[in-house]
Amino acid sequence: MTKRALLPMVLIAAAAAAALAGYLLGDPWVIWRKAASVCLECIGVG
Amino acid sequence: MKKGSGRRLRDWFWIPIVLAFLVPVVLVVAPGHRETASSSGEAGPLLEGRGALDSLLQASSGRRLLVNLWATWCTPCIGELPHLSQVRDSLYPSVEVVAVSVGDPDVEAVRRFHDEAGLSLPMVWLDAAAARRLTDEWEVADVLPVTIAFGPGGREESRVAGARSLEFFMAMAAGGDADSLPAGEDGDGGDHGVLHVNVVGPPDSPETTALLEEAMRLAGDEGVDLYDPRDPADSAAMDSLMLPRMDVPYAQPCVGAACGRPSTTPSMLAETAAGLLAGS
Amino acid sequence: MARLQRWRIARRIIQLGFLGATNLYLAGWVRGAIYTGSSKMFPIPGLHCYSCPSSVLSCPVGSIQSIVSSPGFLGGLSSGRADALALIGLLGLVLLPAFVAGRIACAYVCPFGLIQDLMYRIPAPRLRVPASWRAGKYVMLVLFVLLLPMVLRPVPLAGGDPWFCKVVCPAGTSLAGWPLALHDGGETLQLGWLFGWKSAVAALVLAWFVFSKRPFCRVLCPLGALWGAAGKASLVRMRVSEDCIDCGLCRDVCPVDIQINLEPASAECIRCGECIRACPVDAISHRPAWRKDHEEG
Repeated sequence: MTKRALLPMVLIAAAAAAALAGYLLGDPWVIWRKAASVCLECIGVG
Repeated sequence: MKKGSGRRLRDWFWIPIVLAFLVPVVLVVAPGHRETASSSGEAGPLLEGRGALDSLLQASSGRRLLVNLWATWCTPCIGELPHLSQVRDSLYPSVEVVAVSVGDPDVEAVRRFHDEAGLSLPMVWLDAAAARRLTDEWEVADVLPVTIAFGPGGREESRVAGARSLEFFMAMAAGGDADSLPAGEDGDGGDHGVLHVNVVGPPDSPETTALLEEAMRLAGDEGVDLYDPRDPADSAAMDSLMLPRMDVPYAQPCVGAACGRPSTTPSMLAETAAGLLAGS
Repeated sequence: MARLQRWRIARRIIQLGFLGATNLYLAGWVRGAIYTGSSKMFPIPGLHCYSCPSSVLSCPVGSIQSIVSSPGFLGGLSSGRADALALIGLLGLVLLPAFVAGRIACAYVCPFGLIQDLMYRIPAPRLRVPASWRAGKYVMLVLFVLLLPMVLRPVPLAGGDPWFCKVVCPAGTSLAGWPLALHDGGETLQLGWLFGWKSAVAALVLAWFVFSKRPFCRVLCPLGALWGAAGKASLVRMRVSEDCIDCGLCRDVCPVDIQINLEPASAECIRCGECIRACPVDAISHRPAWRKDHEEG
């Protein structure tokens, strides 16, 4: 393990922790809600 | 690495490309400033659950009904709700407009919006399961907003997805269907369509049943609505219809926007209705 | 070059595999409807519209916009709002592959990347995109994905709009807008000028794919910007040894037109590994940060 690997390792761990914490403590259904109804903006209608 | 002449200008060309995307942003936002969320009059009720929706729908039989499916997180929905409320403000009671939140898992967000916006149209919140059942039943794709127009007989007339203007909803509410309009002038007598009777009372009481029978004789099945004051949804609908609360069952006949006095007996109802029809 | 060909075929197979795996709801194309399963709370590592009929995952760019544009989002992080927390989770998932190997998902997962790779195979005159244009995607990310959706609130009490989706995204237009509009036939969807604008943008960008290498990825893609920036600190990077003879073959085969010998740490690099296989003197390699080697750029 080199010193150069330290920052990426910390970042990877942080991202994984954020993903876990966000999905467990937050409300990931807000993501689902938008994704599971047709996005009229994406189509250019809304 | 070294390139010929003309490189400078080309190097900056990504800026106009990216900035060009601001043009539609400006075009979308500029007219949006005209929107106002609150409309005149009192705020309509916020009801919860499918039962509440069904009784609202039932209460609207005999008039044209616009049902708008929305959610608090749907920006175009929030943008068009004031229009729908305005439609109701100007056309009620010949047209009812109901906004059904089908995309909010939590009623709190809906309540907050309802309280802040103060729109006059009645709102209904459905939880995820009830919303799913409704959209399945009505065969609504997973799109918001959706507005469905039902005729006075309860038959679907048209539906649209995507936000619309006030003018559009006015036209939709007019439906091009003449008998949905209130018979302001002489309804050439005997036409059941022009008379509408709201019967208020517990459905199991004999007084209510008697009133109901007479009301149906006068106005036809389509022209009668029954409200049970003990039912919270009915009670809220009574508030929005401005139906008085009385200790005994009663029936109130209306022709268009004009309503007669609340009648507590079948004969009184017949008399009031006749007077109303003759006077209109 | 046989080595490169084999590698390219392998990459194509992986790309197609991900395309299939993330588009399992094929019935959506027949029904003109989209998938609504709970898997849609997870983002696909790539730019793929969640309104594409077959998509079973959500679009990370669309999801970010939808959260930051939600009513009352500003200040949501400090108050611990559930949707703001979900955004942190989403960003964690999206950034994870980038901290491992930068824009690697662009090379193997992103369906829009695959479309560009394939369309560039069409014989046509070649247009080189100036390196300075790369800045465009950072503006896309900051302005259209973050700032405008967060700040622009023209409708009182409502949230903002997902402006990247609304006025830019050709992936949304081509893979969701066109098929769904076609299916609807204008019956319930109000196709106005915005649809015209987005269709024109999508048509121009799609046409561009034939003439330039992955122009969308390099100039416009906000996800590419995010991953490129994060990839600056990624675990696995590219390494070019002193054996390099500056032949330029690496740039010829590079899907994003990088001169890897001049900028081995480029944020643009999608880690596809084609240059590694193309190099006649084997001077290019992946360099995992944990491996001790010559201290070099």
